[in-house]
Amino acid sequence: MIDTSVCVHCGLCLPACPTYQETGMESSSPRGRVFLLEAIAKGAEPSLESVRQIDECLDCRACEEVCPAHVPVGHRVDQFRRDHPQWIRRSGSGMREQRVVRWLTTPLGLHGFHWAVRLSQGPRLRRLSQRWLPLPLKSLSRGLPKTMPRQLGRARWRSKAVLEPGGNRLVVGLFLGCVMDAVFATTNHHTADLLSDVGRFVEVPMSQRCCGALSFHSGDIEQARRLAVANIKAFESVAEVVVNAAGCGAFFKEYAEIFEESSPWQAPAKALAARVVDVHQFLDDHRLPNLDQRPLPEARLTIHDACHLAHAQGIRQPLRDLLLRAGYQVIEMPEADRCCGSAGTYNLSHPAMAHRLKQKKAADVPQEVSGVATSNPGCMLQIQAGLQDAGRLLRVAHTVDWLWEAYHGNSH
Amino acid sequence: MEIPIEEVLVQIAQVVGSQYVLRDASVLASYGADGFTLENVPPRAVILPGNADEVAETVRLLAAAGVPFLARGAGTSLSGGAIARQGAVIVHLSRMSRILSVDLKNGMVECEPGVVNRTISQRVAPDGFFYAPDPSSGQACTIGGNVAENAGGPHCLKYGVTANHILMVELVLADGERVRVGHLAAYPDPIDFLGLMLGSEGTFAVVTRVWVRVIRIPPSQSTVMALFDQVAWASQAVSAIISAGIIPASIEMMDQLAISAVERGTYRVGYPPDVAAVLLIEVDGSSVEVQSDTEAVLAILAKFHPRSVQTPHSEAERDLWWANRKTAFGAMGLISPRYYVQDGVIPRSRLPEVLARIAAIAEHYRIRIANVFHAGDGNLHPLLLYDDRDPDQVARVIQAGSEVLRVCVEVGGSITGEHGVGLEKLQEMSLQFSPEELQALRGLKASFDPQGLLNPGKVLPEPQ
Repeated sequence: MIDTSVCVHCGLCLPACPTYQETGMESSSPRGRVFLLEAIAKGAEPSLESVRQIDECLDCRACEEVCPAHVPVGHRVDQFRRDHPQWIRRSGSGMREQRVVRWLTTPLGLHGFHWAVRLSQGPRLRRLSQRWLPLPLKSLSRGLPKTMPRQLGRARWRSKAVLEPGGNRLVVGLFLGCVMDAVFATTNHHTADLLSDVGRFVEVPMSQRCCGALSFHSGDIEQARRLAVANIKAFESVAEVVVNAAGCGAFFKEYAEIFEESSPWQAPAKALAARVVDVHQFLDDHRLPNLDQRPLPEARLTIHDACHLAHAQGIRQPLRDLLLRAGYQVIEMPEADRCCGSAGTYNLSHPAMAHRLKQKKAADVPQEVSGVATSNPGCMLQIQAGLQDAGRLLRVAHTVDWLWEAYHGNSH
Repeated sequence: MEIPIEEVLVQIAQVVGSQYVLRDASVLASYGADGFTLENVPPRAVILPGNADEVAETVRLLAAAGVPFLARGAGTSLSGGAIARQGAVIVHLSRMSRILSVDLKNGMVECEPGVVNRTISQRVAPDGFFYAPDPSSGQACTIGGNVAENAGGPHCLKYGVTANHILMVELVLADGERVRVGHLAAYPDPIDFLGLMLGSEGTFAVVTRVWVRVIRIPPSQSTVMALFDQVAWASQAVSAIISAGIIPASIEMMDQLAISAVERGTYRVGYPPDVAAVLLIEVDGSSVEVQSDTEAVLAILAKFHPRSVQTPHSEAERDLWWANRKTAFGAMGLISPRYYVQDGVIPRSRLPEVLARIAAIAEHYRIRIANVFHAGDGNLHPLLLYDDRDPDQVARVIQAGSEVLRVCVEVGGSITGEHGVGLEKLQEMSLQFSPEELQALRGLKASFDPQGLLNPGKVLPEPQ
């Protein structure tokens, strides 16, 4: 049982919570949710409204970061969702995505997803999909990149041997992700290039799978454990595993929490968690060359701090340092670390709140920038869609993509 | 004429929108307490107006029906000020959280009541200004609540409390009438209505707009941290600094138990676990002034056997020291299920003696008391730690709290410095005020709120 009893109800978390900011209701604040959860834990029969309020939590971890006693509200809500799927279902949200997620996390499903997304980008299907897709998907599909690679990132690696097993210390494992690999495969290749730039051999184990975060957060803990075990085995031989998706990185670092205390996988999960390094941290620690004397043509960027990078992993400055060193100018947006509403599959399960947060985020993007840098596939889709909705022709890309363009792109 | 509450709420829903009138029992339960957790009463309903017109109309309808009500901001009150007693309805001002205008030529910011304290300083900081009163809950508490409680904070030692930084407020009176008190130009009224409202804990009116004064960020500042092996040495050092005529921006003190909580929390400074007390002293002003004050402070500290004295190596380190201090209350959850914080004020010269007496009270009632306080102005915050599942301990904690306040009054101090009376210190009001004085205060309250609808059951005890 995740413990919220250390909460003394001081209320310092309130302004940090995106849903409280939107509704102004105590019950949709972290402290309010602790109240509701405590009442249910004491045996009160929850009303539909209270379940709805609890389940409207984005799990963005902003409250956990500002809490003086680090009360794990997001974790606790997540556990509530897993423990009481029947209540969540009755409240009319969540859980519908569980089957989709299970399919997506199989290799075949991932290929299917990739092709479905690719096909949907054809001009005709695009027009058709804009008419027939349910609203949340329609909006999200507007955030997809215009041109998508033909294959999953992993397929190209399988056909082309990039592995040059050298001295052990210089080999890093690269984690590819699921949505990341299906929709943003180029970002994975860019990541590999930059890792080579700082003198690393990149190993991409083909037996790696989705990190399991989507399964876990949609309540499917068994599937999450299976995926975790596959990844623990896949990355057994590398000293460091570089992850470029914020959500995956944060989930890897918490791998131990998904296994029972007595599970034999507990220790290996901890060991993997300790070897996982976020790509920004890695590239910042292992210095890319300084290009700041050469300003880039599309040079003004703003940063959206992905929740699971900023709040869950405490990584903010490395993104800024990297972009500055690569010759970009960074113009900060207000509340850069406020959730964009993507939040895993939240934009599918809670379309209304996700939509409000998406609009708010798009409106926060300063007028004078030419692009947005962020670090999670969900955020990239969501913010791109939000800007599209607002009629703004800005590109949203992974920080790694912006860096790659500076170090490898045509302008140099 | 008694109108049923259901009917009133339907009328109010037409004003504010039905989604902004909350009735669901479990949702109301989440409004049962604020930062004060010894009492928990769900309100009859919660109303979230979107602007001052809606507040006025809501209040008018409630008053006409004789329904008691209170305004609530972020609900960080430590004296139960935002808890709905006697069947009251909460008017939650969280949706009114916009900064309406910034006028730096006149050093003024116009805010809705739900604006978070710290966002005012964040908004004007790029132009070199700040809003001085900085309650430790500044990251969450709202300006409306600050006005209601006349909030203080670490830096109020030099800059004064909320009352010294409010130019004008717009209010909705108990019958729904809208008035403004105070002026944007600084000149005194023959009767200081603004002064009456500041610190009235929401018992006179509902604040709907606030014009605050912002001032220039001092060009230079310096923070000193001193660790002591005895609480008495630390408190003697505080008295010595003040009597030397130095007015630091703040002097904060934490004792061993308080340190043990924050060091388990989110912002860890790395204080040695066996240190008895830490002092954080900040001086600011022109660089010449800061340099000479810092030297004087260091010289005084050296006389009181500090284990170590240091200044921060970076801005980030200074911020960490302050974040550590300011989140001390919230971090108490890490060493105790609940805490009950007292807010007594004493003459600074009596600090060593009073701290010893508080320690004796803790021993007598078999509870733990942590001390975090604004040492510079003698504003104590003894945190009485307890477990709410143990009724006997709860009873002992309440008695011990009352005893602490009795000591404060006895040495010539007050039962509250900045947290307000709320529902928490109703009994202790009679330690500080005579029956005649209380009767006069009741008369004042009745002249603003003849029906007794505003924030019922707070501040003034029922006549015996």
